[in-house]
Amino acid sequence: MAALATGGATPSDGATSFQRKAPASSRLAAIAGTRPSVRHGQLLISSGLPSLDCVLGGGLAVGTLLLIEEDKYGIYSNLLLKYFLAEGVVCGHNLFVASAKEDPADILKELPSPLFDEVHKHQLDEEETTIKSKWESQEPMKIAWRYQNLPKMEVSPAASARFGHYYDVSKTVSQELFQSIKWHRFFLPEEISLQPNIKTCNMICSYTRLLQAIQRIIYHEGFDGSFPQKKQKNILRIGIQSLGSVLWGDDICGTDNPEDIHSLTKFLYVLRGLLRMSLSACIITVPAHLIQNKAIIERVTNLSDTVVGLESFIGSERETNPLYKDYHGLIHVHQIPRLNSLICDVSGTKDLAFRLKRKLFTIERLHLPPDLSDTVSRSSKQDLAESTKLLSSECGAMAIGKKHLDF
Amino acid sequence: MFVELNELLNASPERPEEGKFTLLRDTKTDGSFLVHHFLSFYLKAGCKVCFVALLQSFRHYNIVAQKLGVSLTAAKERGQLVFLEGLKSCFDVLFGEEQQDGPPNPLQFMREDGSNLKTMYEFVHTSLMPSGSDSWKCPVLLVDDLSVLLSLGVRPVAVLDFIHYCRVTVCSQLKGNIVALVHSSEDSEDEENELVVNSLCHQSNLILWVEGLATGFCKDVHGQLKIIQKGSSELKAERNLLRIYQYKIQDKNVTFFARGMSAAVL
Amino acid sequence: MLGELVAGSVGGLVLIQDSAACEGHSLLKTFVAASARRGESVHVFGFEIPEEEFQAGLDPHVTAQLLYQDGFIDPLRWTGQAGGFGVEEFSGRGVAGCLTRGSAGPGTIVLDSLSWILLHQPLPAVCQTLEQIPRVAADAGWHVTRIVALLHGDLHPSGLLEMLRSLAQAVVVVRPAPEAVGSTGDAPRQASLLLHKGKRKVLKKEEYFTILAGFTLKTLGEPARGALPDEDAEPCSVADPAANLTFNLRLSDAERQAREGVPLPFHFSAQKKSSLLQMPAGMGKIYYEPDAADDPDEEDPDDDLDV
Repeated sequence: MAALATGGATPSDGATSFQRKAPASSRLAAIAGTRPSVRHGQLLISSGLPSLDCVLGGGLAVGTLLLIEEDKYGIYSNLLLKYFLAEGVVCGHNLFVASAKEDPADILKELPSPLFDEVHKHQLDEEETTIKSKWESQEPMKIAWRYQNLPKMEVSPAASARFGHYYDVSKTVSQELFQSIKWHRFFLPEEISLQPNIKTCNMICSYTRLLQAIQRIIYHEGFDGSFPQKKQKNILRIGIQSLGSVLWGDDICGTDNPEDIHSLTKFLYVLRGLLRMSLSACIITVPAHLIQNKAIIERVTNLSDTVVGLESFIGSERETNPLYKDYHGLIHVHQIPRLNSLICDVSGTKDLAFRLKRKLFTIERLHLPPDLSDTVSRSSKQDLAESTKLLSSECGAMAIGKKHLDF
Repeated sequence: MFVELNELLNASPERPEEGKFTLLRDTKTDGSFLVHHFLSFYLKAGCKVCFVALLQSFRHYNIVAQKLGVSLTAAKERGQLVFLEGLKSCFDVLFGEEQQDGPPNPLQFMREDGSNLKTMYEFVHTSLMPSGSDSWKCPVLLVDDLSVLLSLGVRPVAVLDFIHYCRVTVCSQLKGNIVALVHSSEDSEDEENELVVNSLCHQSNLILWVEGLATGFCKDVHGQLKIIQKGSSELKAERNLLRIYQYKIQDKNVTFFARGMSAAVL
Repeated sequence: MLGELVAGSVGGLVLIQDSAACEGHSLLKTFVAASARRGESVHVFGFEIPEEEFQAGLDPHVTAQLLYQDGFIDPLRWTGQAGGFGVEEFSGRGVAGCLTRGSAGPGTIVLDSLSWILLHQPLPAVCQTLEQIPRVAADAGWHVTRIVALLHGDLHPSGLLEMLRSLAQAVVVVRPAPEAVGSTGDAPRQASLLLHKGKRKVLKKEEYFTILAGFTLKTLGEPARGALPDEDAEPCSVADPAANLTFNLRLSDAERQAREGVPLPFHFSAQKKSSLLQMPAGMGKIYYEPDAADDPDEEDPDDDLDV
């Protein structure tokens, strides 16, 4: 057999394998699910969405804060929060979930299930058995016929220790996987009933309470890097839902002149300080569209590290716009942090859109649908041209571009 | 320290200017590279530096400073640099016990109603007052960034008072320099911040205004720098000298060029 | 007319309103120099710049006439140094108390700047003080002919500015002059003047001016009236790119059929295809490792095509 001739190292089916070398990070990163950044040496963790990691310069740096401006109905921002937490479950990180609305346990129950490589392998086997029958049954390919009897996709079996995983939003995470990790909860209604209201440092008591809870966990569970810990180091993933909403007791939503304009910014500042000196990363969703005073948003942005805005098409006129028919919303990357460096990893593309498919949520570069004007079913070209104008004025910051030339 | 910027400003670490208030202002982009420039510039010049760092951690500033050829830890040990790490100090104010003895925490205002920054001023004052033993050149106060103070609940007039007193002490009495960063944007609704920025523009001797390109993001041109040199008001009124350059930030350096003269465009 | 104003034609409150783009400090010093040359005593209440900086560039005999109340050094009484002028002292009585130290005869009071005071005292209190100063001073035997105040227009809401303008006898708003005016060396500016003449007359005027060494004023004439620059209307003609082509853009039916009849270079007979598709034994295998941009969803990526 040919397999024997090529040597013992080759797999028994007679195939030589060219596998990409495992990334060098596996040596350096002692903690599962992390890798050091090439740019600034800070440890990165995945946001749970590889396409988002890609946009944010490889992932979320440990010790930083990702702020997500919620979409109008909070659907996709909650999804991102769950992806972030699910990635923590898969990597065995510790979780801290805070909410004023949903019980954290309920949030965790709804985490999407990871799409492990076994699934792919399973598909692969199926394909191989059917491939012969396909060859006969399928109508022969006309143009790309050389690919006719190649299997659809082959995944290397040893890719499970990857950075960032894919998740199936149609299924929820299995209980056994979930029981293996350690998590902490902060459910505001519970906390308030435990202790009386005290307002310290001119900050709303719910925020003070939340800060104290996070600080307690960081210090007691050994996430602060200040003194050496005996046990294995781990990452704490903090997820905070709808911070700044009325349920947190904050009045910045809804009124133009809130009484407590500084509570949220103070909270963020202290939280930033906490994160910077610990092995943790935080994701916060904020209902930015409800905050009337735009000055608060500007300040909140300045105090966060990464800021991403979601704009869903649900209920907006863009839902029916032919230009956006492939997408469910736009994603705006407002800020990328500069860490330990003068520069930051900005991706070249600014026009990004997301879509939620049956199983998967992806972020893609926004592009126009193909213009197949010969067919009747297409919306008229005129229509499309109109919306293209719309796009260019919105996405490229070209509003001033007509008269102004930078070079 | 970026050599090209020194040339544009006609400055060199051998002869730092004295008694100047430089305002760094950024609009729709990040101007922190200028803070790193002035930090390394004044440390190389042998000035005594008090750095009020509210936005980032010491680690961050130190790593970037090392790329620019300066070690902050060494400067701290020599007593040349006094570093106030806001992200750490705010902690002691919020969670630490109130200590009775010793100087009050500079961020004490977070406990109070934010009506004045006297403790912070006193911190700057004691840090920069020359003591008999050291032989540093003129003292320098560096702030990154003033807008954070507003987010922490300080009233804008209190921020202006803080800078006023720093100008009295550092610029006027000790013949030193102040460099402070603020964020601003024309269409901003943050009126408090606009008040601070406009007022500081009146008081400053030099404004370095970093703006993102109006036409959007570009890979090879990261923004433009407006250098506004205020008239000296010595003999007669002079027109404010305005120069505009575009820049590109690299790993360890920033290159400046005339508008439209980026190597990538030509 | 700005010249007359500097020469002392108008008494009462004179406001100089500037902005960050065009400073009014030098005009303020021009007023100071002019008053001092007329032999009046000049009281400067300075909060914004140190005394040395204010006196820089003024003639020695002008500075001799100048009485500087130092509000710069410790206006809030933080450092507890003796001397200086605290912002709390800015009231009719407090200001008049400082005047007694000056010489008698007509005097000018200079506020550098009113904006600084307004940030630290409520507007009604400041306005009342401005009204009181001449009266309280007259009671003490001093004649205050005018109060010249610098105001940074971009620091205050427009309502407040209107309020102050209504109190003033004269308002000078300075802004940068258009490029074409004056020679480049002498930094021309444009002044919009609003003057109350007597009880019944109000004058409005635009003037260009510049300030020479030693703080003397030079007027550069008035802007031409009604010469507003036209919006340059660009004629936009849409040319048809397909008008003058040297080749054919569209096919006739016969031409289309002929084109479809041509066999394509990658078309092979079924026999040849199957022989090419025979897989040699031990052929290499390609493993695929998905990366960030990949999409393992099994939905047909082409389901949006109408094929």
